[in-house]
Amino acid sequence: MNRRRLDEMQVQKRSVIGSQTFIMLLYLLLLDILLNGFGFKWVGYPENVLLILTLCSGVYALRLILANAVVGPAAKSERLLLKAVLTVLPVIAVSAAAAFWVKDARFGIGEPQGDISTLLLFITSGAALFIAAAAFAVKMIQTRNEE
Amino acid sequence: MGKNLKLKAARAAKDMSQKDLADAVGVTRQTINAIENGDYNPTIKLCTAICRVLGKTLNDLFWEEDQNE
Repeated sequence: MNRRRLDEMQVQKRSVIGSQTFIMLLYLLLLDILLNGFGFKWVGYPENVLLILTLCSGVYALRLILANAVVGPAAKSERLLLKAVLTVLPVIAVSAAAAFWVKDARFGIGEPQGDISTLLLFITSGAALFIAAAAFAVKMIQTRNEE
Repeated sequence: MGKNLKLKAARAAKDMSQKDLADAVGVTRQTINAIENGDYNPTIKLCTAICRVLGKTLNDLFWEEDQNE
């Protein structure tokens, strides 16, 4: 068997989690459209979709981590924590740089929103990072205890 | 699906841990654990791989007697 890939149980779990998350995404988008139709606007236009996508991606990633369906059998001995840190750090650096360079840019002719969307997006991404780190730590401890 | 005690016994007889068996057949330790606990139904390909490593037949490890008989 090819040890670089996920094993059969991991593939099966990933498939189930993926389809369930897709259904969740669909229902959340429909709910958002429904709320908008009734005149209830919880967040502005692009942010609502982005928040729903972020939520679903976060749930998908978390469930994959908790179901141990992220890396295949051969990857266990590699330095996963180092890889994760090396991936996350450039992302944070690029995000910070982008935020710094475009903070004064004006892309539209409308007046600035001034609502809580930016804060919501910031909190969401921060919470997602924190939850992912916590889930990773819990998983590592569980694996150590089981062995 | 009940626990697969025959697999557990055969593995213990060979003095192998779940990790050893998992490494030998190319799956994660969690998959072997799930098979032993009856939480996962493996494919025939994985069953034969496990049988080869443990030196047993499919009947020895995976055949369940019908409770109605």
